[in-house]
Amino acid sequence: MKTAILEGRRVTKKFGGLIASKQIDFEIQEGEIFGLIGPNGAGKTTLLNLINGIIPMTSGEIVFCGQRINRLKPYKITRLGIARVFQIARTFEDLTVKENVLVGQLFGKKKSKNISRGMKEAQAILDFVGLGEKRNHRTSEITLADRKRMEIARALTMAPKLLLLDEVMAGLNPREVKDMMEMILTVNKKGITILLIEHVMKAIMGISTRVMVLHDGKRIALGTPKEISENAEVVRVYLGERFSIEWSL
Amino acid sequence: MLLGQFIINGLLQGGFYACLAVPFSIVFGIMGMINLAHGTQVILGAYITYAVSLALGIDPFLTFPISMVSLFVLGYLIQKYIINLVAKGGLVITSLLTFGLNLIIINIILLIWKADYRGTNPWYMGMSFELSSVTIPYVRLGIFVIAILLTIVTEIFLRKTETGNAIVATAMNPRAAQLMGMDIGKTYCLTFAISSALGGAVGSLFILANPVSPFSGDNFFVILFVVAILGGVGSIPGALLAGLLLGLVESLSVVVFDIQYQKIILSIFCLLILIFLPNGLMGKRIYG
Amino acid sequence: MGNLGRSAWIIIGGGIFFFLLALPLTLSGYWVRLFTNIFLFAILAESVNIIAGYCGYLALGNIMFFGLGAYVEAVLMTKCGLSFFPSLLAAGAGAGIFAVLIGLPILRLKREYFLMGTMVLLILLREITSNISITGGGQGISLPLFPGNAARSNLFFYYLMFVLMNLSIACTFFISRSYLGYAFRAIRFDEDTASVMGINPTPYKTAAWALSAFFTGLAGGVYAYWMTYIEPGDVYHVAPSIKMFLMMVLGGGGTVLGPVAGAFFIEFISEFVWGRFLEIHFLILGLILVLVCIFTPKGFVFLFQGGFRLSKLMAGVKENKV
Repeated sequence: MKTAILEGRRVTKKFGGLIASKQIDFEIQEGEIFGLIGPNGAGKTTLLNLINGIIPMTSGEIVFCGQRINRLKPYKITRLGIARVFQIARTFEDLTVKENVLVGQLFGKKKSKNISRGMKEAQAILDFVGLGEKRNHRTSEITLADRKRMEIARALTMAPKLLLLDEVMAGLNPREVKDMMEMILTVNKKGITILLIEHVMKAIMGISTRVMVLHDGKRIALGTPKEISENAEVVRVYLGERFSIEWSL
Repeated sequence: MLLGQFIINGLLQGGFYACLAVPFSIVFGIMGMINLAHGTQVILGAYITYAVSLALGIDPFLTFPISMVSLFVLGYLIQKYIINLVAKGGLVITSLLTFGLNLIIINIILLIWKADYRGTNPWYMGMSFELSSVTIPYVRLGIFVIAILLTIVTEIFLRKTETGNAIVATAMNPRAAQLMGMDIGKTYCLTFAISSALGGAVGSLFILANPVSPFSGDNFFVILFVVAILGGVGSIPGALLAGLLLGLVESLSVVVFDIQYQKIILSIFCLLILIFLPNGLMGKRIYG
Repeated sequence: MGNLGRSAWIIIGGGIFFFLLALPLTLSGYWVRLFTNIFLFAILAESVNIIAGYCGYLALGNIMFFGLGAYVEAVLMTKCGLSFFPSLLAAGAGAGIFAVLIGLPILRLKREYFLMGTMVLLILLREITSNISITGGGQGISLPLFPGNAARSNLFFYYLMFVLMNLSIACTFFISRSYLGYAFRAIRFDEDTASVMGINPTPYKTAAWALSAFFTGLAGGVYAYWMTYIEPGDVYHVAPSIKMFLMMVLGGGGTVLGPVAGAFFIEFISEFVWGRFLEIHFLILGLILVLVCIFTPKGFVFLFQGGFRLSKLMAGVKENKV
């Protein structure tokens, strides 16, 4: 029986008068790829920010591997085993590709202070994501797709149990999307659970084990991609008729 | 009642402090910039009043439109040709830049008017009236009234006019404002120019009752910080309240402590506010 | 690092080092004192670089540690009869400890408020010092004279400052190569992101400020003994604070040698160009500050690294212009 690696219970977030997240319940099974979709402004990134501890929750709980994490500081949550790739790239501008990954290596879960060992591991991870040759490039010199890979590499060196990916396919061409899908699947096969926000429907529906749909801060559906695409409300609110027809073909 | 005198003094001074800090608060709130040259801009306004009233032989109070206009123009040009070049550069660059401007303006004043203290001596200088055993100097009352009026006018401008609303909108969401076709650069120029003009007016008022030296602007820092933050950055009503409060604290502190400790008390007061009330008395962010 | 190879730079650096080492033996007292002053500013710039250049916390009032160090030194020597070197160590340690304590509330503030907080702290320390008797209040303190003639005194302070300067450079060098450097830079980039990378910002920021305070305090201690007389307005003065920021930004914040280069540059100009034109001292300082902010916000090091190009001057403007 699969265990839940991350659970959210009645997760609620208010920004002054605006309720960004309304009593969201969810659980992510260990080892699955969990997709999160919904229209813009539905509260997807907010949920990720709440999981990471960057913003405080108004009420509710988030439990990771049996431990309540909603009151913890972000660095503590990271060290427990959650890594994040942001929607708008947060690369350290003045550092090289390798150094960017190194930062994750030094301070993530394994927290080593040894630079030379860290560099070696960073190198290995970069090879894994296919950026081995660009390791000494400045981040301003690499393409968008590469930058996303670098951020994933940085997240991976932190030895996470759960990887949060926020729209990593935005701005990629179809070829790059396919590569990214493959990489996510490979990472998942190594045993890392993945929570994935995407707008590229084919991608997220194609690789997710289950999908949760948010609308206006509320969860309106949770199930396998097939179940979601057949859910009338989801179709109405977000997917549109055309997609559900495409999907069922 | 001696206490009453202190309270009145505090309030009168407080109104002045509010008007002193409002332009600083506006620039901080709308442009996110700490204008370290503000104090000296105020002093420049004072010097202009001094020079014009001396040259034309008129009452210094009548010259304050001149200092307002000249500082408006100066502020607009400075923002357009200097500050706008680094406005997106972040806190470090903009703060250091404004400090550089501070030094330049101080030196220009120094070159023109030398280092000695200058003052005006309006004919109504020593005159005052009594209100139930409290002495109120006309000058201070006049400064208070004008300061409050300027503050209210600015608030009306920002909230009720189209231009004012546009300025406030850029603070809320610069990107959205830009998408709607607003020229951020011009908005910043206008904002800084207005802040500058207000500073000039305040300077003109200041010199009616106090002598100034080129370095007088540096004495205003603590007041600016306290009023801007305590009142909630960018909030004019807040600044008004905070200014009055500061005036009272400053005045009443002399009742309990020796006057030589006043600066210490104010500095500690400022630190406490920075630490415990960063969002001001209202406790919430005004912008963003 | 420019078009020269690494070994070329090491040779140049070594040459400068030995030149400075031998300088007092060949040049007159005037030059010795000039360079001592340059070293002093180099220490100040290099120290503020740790908290401001690497961590991104604009401690505009950092000179407060200079004053603190100077006064700890002065009080220990005059009122407690302690000799110079122990007092000096206490000066540095005292400043460092003060930074740790005051850092508890102040480092938690947002950047803008931190900036203001340090300015206010500077004013506060100056006022307190002016008002208590143990420090001599506004009258200042006279320290015991250095035992020895003028020539010996020149040499002593020259080499002492030189050693301190090299210590601060070495410290910065080790930071830049270690995990501390990466943590500092991550914090400067964005504290939330750094936290999500597993960095707990608080101990790192505190360590950075404490180190910065330590060296600044040491500099203050040496200065006090050198000048033999200090008063609050002298050591808690805002102008040197701005100067050291100018040096840091001009040379390059967040680099190892940038602030030192900036210090040499500014002090040379200070001495030879506008020492003659005292009345436009502030004007030039302010002008340089404005120009640096506009055209070389990242400093000399970035300007010359990878080859100098005129377009690099405009790059800053293009990026930051509104």
